[in-house]
Amino acid sequence: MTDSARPSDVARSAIDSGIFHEWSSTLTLTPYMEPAWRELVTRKGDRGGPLRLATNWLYRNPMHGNKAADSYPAQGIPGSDREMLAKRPGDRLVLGYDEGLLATGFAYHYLSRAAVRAANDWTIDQWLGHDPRFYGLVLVSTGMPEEAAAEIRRVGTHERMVGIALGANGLGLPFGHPAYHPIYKAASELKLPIVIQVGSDAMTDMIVPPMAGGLATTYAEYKVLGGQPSMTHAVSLITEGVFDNHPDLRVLMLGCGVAWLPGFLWRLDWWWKTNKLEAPWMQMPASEYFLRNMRITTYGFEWPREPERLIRALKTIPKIEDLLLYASGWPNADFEDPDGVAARLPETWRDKVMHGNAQAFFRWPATASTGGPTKRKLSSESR
Amino acid sequence: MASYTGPIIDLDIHNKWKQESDVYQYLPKQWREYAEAWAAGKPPTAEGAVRSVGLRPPNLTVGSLLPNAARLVSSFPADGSLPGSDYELLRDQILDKHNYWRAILNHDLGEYGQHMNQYFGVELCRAANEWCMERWLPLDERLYAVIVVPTSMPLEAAKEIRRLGSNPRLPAVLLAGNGFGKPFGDPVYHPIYEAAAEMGKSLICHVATDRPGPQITEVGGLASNGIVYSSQISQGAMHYVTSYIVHGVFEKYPTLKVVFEEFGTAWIPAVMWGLDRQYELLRHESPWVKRWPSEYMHDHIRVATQPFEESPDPEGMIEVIRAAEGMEDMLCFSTDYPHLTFDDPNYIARLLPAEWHSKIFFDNACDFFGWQKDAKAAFGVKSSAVGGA
Amino acid sequence: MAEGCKGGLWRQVIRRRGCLDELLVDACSVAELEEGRPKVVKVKGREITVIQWRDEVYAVRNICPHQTQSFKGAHVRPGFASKPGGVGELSMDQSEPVLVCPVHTWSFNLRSGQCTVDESLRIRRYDTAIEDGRLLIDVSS
Repeated sequence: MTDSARPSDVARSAIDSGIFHEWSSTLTLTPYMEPAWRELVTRKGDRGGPLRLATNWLYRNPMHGNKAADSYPAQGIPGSDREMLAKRPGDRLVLGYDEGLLATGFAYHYLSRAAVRAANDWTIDQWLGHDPRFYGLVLVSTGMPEEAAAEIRRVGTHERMVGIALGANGLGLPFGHPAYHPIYKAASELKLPIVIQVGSDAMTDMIVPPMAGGLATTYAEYKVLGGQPSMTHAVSLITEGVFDNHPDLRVLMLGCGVAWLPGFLWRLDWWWKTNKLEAPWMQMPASEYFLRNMRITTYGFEWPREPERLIRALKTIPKIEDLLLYASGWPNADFEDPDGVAARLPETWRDKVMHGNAQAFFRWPATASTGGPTKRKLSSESR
Repeated sequence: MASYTGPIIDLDIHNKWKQESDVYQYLPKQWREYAEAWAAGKPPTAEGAVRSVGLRPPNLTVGSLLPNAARLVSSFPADGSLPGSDYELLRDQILDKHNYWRAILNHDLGEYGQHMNQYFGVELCRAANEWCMERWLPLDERLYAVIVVPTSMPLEAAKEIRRLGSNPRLPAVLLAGNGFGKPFGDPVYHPIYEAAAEMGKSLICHVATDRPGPQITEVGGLASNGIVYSSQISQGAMHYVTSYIVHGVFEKYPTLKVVFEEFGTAWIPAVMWGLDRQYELLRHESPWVKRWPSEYMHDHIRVATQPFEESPDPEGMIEVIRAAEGMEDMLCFSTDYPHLTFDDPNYIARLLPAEWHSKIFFDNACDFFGWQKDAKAAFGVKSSAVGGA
Repeated sequence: MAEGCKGGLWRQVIRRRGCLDELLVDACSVAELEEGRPKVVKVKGREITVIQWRDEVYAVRNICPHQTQSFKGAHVRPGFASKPGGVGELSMDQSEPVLVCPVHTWSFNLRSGQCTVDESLRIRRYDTAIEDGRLLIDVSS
């Protein structure tokens, strides 16, 4: 998309639920740190240079890195240039992180906490005020859930923070585990939804692997299988009572795929029925929690060579169009512009997927309207 | 949806021992003493009770709350022995009750090789194969079985396949449990495939507990309840499929076929479409990807129907199958008797379109095991016409 | 439990609906019933599962609505529940026994017949009465 191209109506009105802003260097964040941490991290005179506040991805795209060829600014890493981001299509851009999530998985958890604090302050200072279309996600370090909750309470009140980026699986447990519950309590108090992203379990410092059956060999496999931890996280959130404790809490699965969803929901209900005693606090079938409280981005869709096949499979879920949120994934190499995505959707889905569902999902400033999640059933009789 | 009265091939029945010594008696003396030392002189313990060794490696506790030991109550023999250990019950409840042509005995669950002591695991696999050949196959000509192998010792596994592979009543090699924490396509397992291909055996990959340690049946962290654990059982199969393609198993062994059992089926489109979407990358990363992944899947991968995903509106699951082109050609019927996730043949027949019946209940499995000649001899027609569909 | 009575059962009240008596049919001897162990009886051409639990006798149609299998071999347990908001807590209600299907373990509240895992499913339940040590089932209920 170039400067001279005129954006379509779809492009102009879309809400991008997954576009990534990044800091290029630790020194971008150090001004926002407390003096002692700043000193520790800057390491002036140290041959190693400033400490990189990030763990590493297990998998990287060997063809062209993970980033789009034309997303590289003159200086800094893709996603770090505010002007380039401002040119991206959409009515609202929810600035999450891709590379930045690596700070949440950094092994030294106190430093990880310092990093996310600085990242949030930097985002507020350098991004959120600078373009009326920019909104932010609170970055948290999950390895210490109480600290993550404190961070949510500290910056989550900023009106342009519209959600929480959950980041790494810091404890190596499914996200519904009670150890993580302080995070959801804080999120719920501030009415902030949560974004779970592919890659939460794909960092080198994680003790949990990102796909089942051992480690994959290729990045391509990671693209296909990387959503697996999120599937477990979703069932965990549902069965460990997170949505019973916080019925209004909403969770978005970003980049995790969707083609597995029909079978996933049917199988989930079957096992809920069989193992109901292991979650007696659940008030309704497991799939209904998913339909009510969880959402999925278009970024990550496993589009077949005939895209309508995926739509056909998805239509087996009543009102699936209410669950899907457009996200570009920019500047990742497989980002998708709004027009391309909208063209593959049934016409009746477009407004919801490109705009309406995100409108209802994030906690927009007082001027933007939001609705609470509504209860729905998996069977079509509920239409 | 219609009923199905044609012949059935069931890819997954779990036969069991009446007591562990049934299998131990086939062990060499030193290993028999190893197996029975702890129990010597003590009263027999119920399955699952504390023991030092046993026919099943130590398992996760997730799933232990399931009632009736996760078995059909009707499959518990009156004499108090274990479900799946009684041939007469199996015959009455399954083989004779429905129009069975052949059924595959997969042991319960055949993960003998997953013991912490892998040498014991190797011996147990051999003993279990002998037990099954001597104590089960002669009971009924409809029963066929697998060659159980220790996946953590691929060269030993290959030896066992070559030892028993000429027996036509053992048409497949069972892969139950991932011995290395690596996906099954990894080269570490290739000696198994070389032997299987050489002996003309197919592969059955059945869900099983992996070696105690990091839980790799599903990821995201250890499941703390059976809903998380069991609902995510498909995850392993999704990776195993990609790994067979990426590591060129079907390029190296073009005659090899694998059927995935008890992983569910609805994940197939996600993997097929996802992999095809990464075609360019795959070819860049792996020298062995020469065709579209979906083509490899159609030619070499089969998936057992059990546990068939139950959509609230039965049409839903059929729609998913229709959405993925040719997926009905990949499905092979299985019951998983006597486990509680058992799929009754009549129930499945009612769920499936009639035009798929003979494929899914018979033809696909017949092709998979190379039984076309036998089918022709039995029914006097080309296998694809059997069942009258 | 009343002393001197085998199994401690006491006489249950026979209900009347409108002007019509129920169709009470003799099913079996109460002495044959074992606490918590369902017994399948054939009454007026239909199979009925009877269960004694804590001084009451329940009767339900012997067909699980899931995949139309028999309840033969099923077991009974108290109802388990958790208060709304009581994540992590478990409470037990002995007065709401639940029948667990011996096939896929779906459970049914014996008092109401309601399936506890699928609210659209219910099993047919029958009123019962005890007279002179015999179990009577009201097949019109």
